[in-house]
Amino acid sequence: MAVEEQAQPADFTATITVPEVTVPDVQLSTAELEATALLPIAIAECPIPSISLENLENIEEAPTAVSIALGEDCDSQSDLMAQQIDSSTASSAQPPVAETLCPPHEFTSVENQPASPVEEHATPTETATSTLPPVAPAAALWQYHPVPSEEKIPDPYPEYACRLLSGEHGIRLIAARMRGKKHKHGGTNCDDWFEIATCGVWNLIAVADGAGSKQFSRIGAKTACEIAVATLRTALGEVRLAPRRWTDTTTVFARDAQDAFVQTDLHLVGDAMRQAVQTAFQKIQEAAAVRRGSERHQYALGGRDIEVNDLATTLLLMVQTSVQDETGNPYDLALSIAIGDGVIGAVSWDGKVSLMMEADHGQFSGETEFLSARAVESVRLNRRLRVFIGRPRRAFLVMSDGVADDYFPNDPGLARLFGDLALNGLIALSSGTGFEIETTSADATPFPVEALAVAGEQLTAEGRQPLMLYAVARYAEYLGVPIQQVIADPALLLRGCRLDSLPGDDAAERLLTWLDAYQVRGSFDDRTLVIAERESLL
Amino acid sequence: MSETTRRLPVYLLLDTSGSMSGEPIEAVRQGVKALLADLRSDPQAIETAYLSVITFDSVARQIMPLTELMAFQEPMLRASGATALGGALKLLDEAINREVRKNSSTQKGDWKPLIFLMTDGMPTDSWESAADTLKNKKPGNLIACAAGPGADEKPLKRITEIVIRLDTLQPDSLKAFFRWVSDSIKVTSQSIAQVAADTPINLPPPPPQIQIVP
Repeated sequence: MAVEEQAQPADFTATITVPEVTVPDVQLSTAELEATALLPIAIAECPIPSISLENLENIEEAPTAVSIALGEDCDSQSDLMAQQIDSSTASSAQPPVAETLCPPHEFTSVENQPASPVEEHATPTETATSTLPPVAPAAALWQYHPVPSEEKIPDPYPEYACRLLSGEHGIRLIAARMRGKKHKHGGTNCDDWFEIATCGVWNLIAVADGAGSKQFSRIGAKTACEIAVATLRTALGEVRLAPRRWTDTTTVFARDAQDAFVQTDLHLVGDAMRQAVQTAFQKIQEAAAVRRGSERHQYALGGRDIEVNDLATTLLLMVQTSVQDETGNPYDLALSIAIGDGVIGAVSWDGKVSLMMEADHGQFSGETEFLSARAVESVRLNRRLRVFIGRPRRAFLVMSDGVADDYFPNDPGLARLFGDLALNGLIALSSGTGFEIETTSADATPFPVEALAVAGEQLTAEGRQPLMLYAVARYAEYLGVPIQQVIADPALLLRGCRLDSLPGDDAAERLLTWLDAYQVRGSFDDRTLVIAERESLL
Repeated sequence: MSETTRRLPVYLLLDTSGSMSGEPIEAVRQGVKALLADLRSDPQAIETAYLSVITFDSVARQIMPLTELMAFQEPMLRASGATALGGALKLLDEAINREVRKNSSTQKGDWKPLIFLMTDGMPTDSWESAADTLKNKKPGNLIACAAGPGADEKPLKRITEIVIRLDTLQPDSLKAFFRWVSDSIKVTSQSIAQVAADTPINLPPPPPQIQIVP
């Protein structure tokens, strides 16, 4: 559980705002630039900063001058690297990720601020769309019932879990899962699970969410995470990726007829991930088989025998490492594979979001896909493989739908999530002394807490415990700037960061507290979030 | 209201034709009142369930648009005229198209709507094409109730698989029906969670006054 303290850059602000100085991008010749600009993904991604900023300014009543050191040139170059699909598979059943990356949506995070049931400060948007006062009465009706004992319901799992792990490449893994209000109220088990690990040069993350409609889905979720991570640890221990020209995306991301990667080392990692999912499903089938004939399981299921379906679960896997380009500059490389809903994504230093999966969903909320014999067929799994490659990211985030749905749409929702985590002290903004931020005297005025705080509440055996939380949407509104501007500015984030600490001995325990306490109407599912965060640029 | 709130839309389609006048329509009024009170005691229902009422007599009207529980006001129900079931089904389709949010890349969809249809007679308008449209589109889980001896089950079977029958229009039967509707909404709002698409809905066992029409 030891946390590795990370090297403190001498001038953090400078490091952030002038990234091209510390992390030179690949030097592209003009000819290469023109060639890569012709890729659909490059065209699709380029407008992101301007579109989202404009929209944000429209939303804000009094926009202040936006002066983010975006470094447009280097930015669009780095985004060329963030290609996540192979253009040759664009004709396959999966929609191209490029569309997910650059939807023509508006930045709606300001309206999407979590509406606490006891929230008194309705935002103008909320009052404009509804003449009704915020509804509070539900809060008082929620009850806490513990996880039933082994005697009552077989296979009880702990209500919550959290873990902190010092990862590879300057990454710190912070993970937590908390039983949702729905299960607390009903006295039922948490269906989510997570596993984190490192092996060789890789950071490994698994998150699974057992089907809410299935009574023993938690067994599936736990088995899926444990087996997938164990399989990956065995498979990836010795695997290192060769340095290469990452800008040559058509070669790097090429897929074969089976939708597997063509390049040998990527092919190996892709195979390992596919096998991890397949082995996980095999063990889930075994977990169902060993419980067949169990009277206690039969009793819980109304007299029938347990089936594999009763263990239905989603599974989100991400493996992340750092690789070098041909000139020795480090890049983040992550592969993901996901069955079901939830989100895997990355947040950049300037607050941009890259999503690494498309959730399987139907027309309505809650309809999704689970691990099944069909879902784990090799070609189907290959199609679900996604690659992220780009300059080192601020954070990778993997979460179950219990969190993802509260930050929807996930682009730019994950940026707001990142901001909320940072303001609540869950992301390291400064690791101690020597962190100096230039401030003017006006900047030094402390913020009124109301400018940042929203009401949170934990539902515990001792009753409802109110807890004040900070929200970046609220902060941005108070400052009159777009959320992305707050996130891109470490000085602003640090100024708005809470001075007290959330209850908990380390970052993982505090993440657990936050997951338990934040309020969004209609959100009472189990919440699981794994953060792979990097405090400073490599 | 946050755009991200996932709502459980509940549509009540109530027959207010002339044959319902007197005791039956009063029982329906009381039933809706009890349903509201019951749902307002359940935190998950309060946070998720949104209610709309469509009545049909000689014409169909959406007398209450999809409204959150705490803001919902009991509708004025009066019984007179014929039974425009087709009009009500058409109106339901329009209301769902207009009011229920579907999943998209920028919007979190609502939970699958829950629809309760209660009628005590036979449709007097052209209803067949509207029924077929609904059965094809399956815009939600639709439970149809043939209430009383004069109700015709056949048109209801053409709309949905789930048809139940109330033998009488006595206040006790209608009361039991609305309590069951309330329980169904509560169970649904509690079990809203991931399901594979097209999973059949789980409803609480009906009281003795209600028979399931096979």
